[in-house]
Amino acid sequence: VTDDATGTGGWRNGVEPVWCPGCGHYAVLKALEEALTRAGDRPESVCWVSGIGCACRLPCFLRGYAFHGIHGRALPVATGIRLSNPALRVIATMGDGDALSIGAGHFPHACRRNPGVVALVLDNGVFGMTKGQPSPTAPRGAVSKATPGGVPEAPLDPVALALASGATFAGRASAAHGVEMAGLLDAALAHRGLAVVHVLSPCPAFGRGLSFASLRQAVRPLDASGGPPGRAQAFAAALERDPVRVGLFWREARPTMEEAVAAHSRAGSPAPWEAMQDRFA
Amino acid sequence: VPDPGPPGSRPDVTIRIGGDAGDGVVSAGELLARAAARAGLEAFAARNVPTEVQAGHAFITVRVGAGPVRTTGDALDLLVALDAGTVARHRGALCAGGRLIREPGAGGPPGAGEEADDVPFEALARRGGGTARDRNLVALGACAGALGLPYGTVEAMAGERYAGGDAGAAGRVASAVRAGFESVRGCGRPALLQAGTPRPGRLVMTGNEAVALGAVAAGCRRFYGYPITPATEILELLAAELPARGGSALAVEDEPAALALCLGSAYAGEKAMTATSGPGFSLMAELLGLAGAAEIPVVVVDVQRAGPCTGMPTKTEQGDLLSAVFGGHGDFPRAVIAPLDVEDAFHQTVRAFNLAEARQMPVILLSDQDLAQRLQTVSRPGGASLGLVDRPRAVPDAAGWAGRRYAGAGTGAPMPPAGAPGLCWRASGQEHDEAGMPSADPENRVRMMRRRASKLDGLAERPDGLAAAGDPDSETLVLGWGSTYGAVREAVERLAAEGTAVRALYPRLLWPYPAEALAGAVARARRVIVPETSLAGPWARLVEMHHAVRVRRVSRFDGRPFEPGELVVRFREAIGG
Repeated sequence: VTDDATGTGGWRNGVEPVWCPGCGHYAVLKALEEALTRAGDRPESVCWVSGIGCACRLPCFLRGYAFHGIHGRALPVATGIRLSNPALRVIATMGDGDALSIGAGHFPHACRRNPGVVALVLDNGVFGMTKGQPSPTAPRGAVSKATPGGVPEAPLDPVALALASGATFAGRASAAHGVEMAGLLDAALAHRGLAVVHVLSPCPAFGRGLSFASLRQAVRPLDASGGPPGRAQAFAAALERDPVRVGLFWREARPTMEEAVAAHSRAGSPAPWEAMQDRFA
Repeated sequence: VPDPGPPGSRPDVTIRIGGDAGDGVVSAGELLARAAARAGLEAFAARNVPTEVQAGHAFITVRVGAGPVRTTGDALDLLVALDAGTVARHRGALCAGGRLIREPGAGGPPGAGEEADDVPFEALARRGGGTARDRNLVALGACAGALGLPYGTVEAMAGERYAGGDAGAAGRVASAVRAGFESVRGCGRPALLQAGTPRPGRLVMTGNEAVALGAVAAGCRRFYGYPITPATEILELLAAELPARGGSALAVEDEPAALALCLGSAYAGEKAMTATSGPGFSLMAELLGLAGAAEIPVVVVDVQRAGPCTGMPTKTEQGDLLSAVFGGHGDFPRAVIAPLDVEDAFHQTVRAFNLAEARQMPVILLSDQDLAQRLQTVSRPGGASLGLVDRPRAVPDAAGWAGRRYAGAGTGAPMPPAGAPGLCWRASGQEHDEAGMPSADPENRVRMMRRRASKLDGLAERPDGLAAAGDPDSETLVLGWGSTYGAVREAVERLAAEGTAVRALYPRLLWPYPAEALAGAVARARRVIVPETSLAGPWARLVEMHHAVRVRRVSRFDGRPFEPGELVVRFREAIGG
């Protein structure tokens, strides 16, 4: 039994994470705690939404409302929650398989819709819970028990996909750069609309090629302090690989899904249902 | 105003209007049904359209009577043909002494015993200032004239639909309707329909419309769906109606998303519904399990169509019952409800929401194309107390809550809406402890499985919830479900009139299976007949699973609903054989 329900104190609920030692997700957990504390949120005003996979266990270690659903469907669940309660801070935590493989059908639509949801994609390039099969972000040629001849497909890039899909906020962070990650999360929490945050988060058990050491080597912040000047430049920067860029690629203001729906909806004195019958007279 | 003439001799009249898809024959038939209802008559209309939007043959069959009409009947009293193809296809369905009204010359010389009148639909439409597209309005006027409906009601109905307050358009519409009416009256034949006692204040709607109205009445705030024939009208009607009630109806990227959005909204405290047909329902199976495991109230409407796979999207079938009852992996609680007709669809939708809220589980409402797209006259449900149920939102002991949403009884546990101060809890589709935390502990597992299963305790349909027709002492029991009720009831009444006693029983709540409510009737019957629009016969299988009985199946799976005359013959065979 946790102390989830009360609205005071820190963010951790006393449940010890089940992740492997050295997992990048610990860094995400810490950065989230810091960012939420800085934002001044209360646990009861936060709703975590997750699917299935190592990344989706993250809400189990934090306080707040939580909807631990099924593989791939975190974004539509999160959107439904926001539409019905726009006052809630909704944070969806997904893995790369969750967001870009089984849930890939929802990802571009969440970007188009722009609900007020922070969408975390914790990317280690593998399906960790099922012991190391390559995810859609794994590089071509990656060898695993499921791909003894190497991955034949080109990888997906979540930031580029988000930008191509009309996301109003797209950023990338590295688990090896905790301070910068927390800073990006500050911006995501302050954003009105869908904030896609792609986190490169090494899997110590199966993540061939991606490690804290390699991240420290391979990752560079975006050049311009204000970020790329347009969506096209942001898109190009998102696809740079040597080095891989981190930071806030793109941010713009657009009405949220909740605002667009509410603009057509009458709150206050709703029409009585009986009035609907007159259509059929 | 043109005079409809003295009333005719038939208690009810079946009319078919046919033409090319895109000719507007379906609209003409629907307007005829609405005008008849406004004149205090009972009406039933079923359309038959090709899957393609504007290609091929389309027709609508309308039955109008002074007393109840529950099907389109067997034979046509009147065939209105906008083209020769309609005559060729449907002439054989005319009853003896049936009447044909046709574009001049369409279909050649009249058949034996057939009364044929020529109405130049297109020429009359153009003469009144309209175009060839107004032929359907001439056809509407012709139908009204042949039946003997009050002219003013029909003209007003057509004007409301097509003129939209534009005086010029209203004049054009009226002249087309009037031309058809006067042309048929001018043929000098008596009106077809008997006079009756009008029942004012009735409504006309489709099954899909009744479901949407029921959802609004039940307090549904959020609807999410993906367009699919024959369920789409529910989405469209709710998109027009929910915003005025502080809600919304949205078309989303696919059916799993639709149900996932529903579950999000329900977790945040609002009543939510989705509607789909078989292909979408198959895709939703995993999320139904999530609703069951996480104990989230939600209503899922499956407007069945002929399957498998794409099947025949605009044709009817009762093929999804076992998917509704057993679909999804593992054990989880759900209720399955099948309305019997359009009026019942309203009430069963309200009931579906009430059950979902009371038991905090998914409730599946099984409609089908036949029920969803037919038009029927219904009583105005307004004013009656609907007895709405809402989940318990408050927590009696908030200080001791600790997120233990999955503690205690499976029914009636508090379910605070996400965001309620101090009442955080975790919804989980993974096996979980009382606080929603993942748990594979065997004792916890057993407790949670029992807790969820207990949601069905005491829920099964009681005897007074069964719709019954025919002789309670009959040796022959007909057990059916859903949209076949009208045809079966009419068949049972006709058999009774010829001295053959049959009893028909229709539960609406099909799952949990109404074993006790049906046990006595099944045990007393010498033979049990199960009519279904399905080859496999899912209800027959459920009946045999629950009672020591072999049933006789009467099945139809050509995509068309049963006709009462067909059932009379097939019930007779089953009784004799």
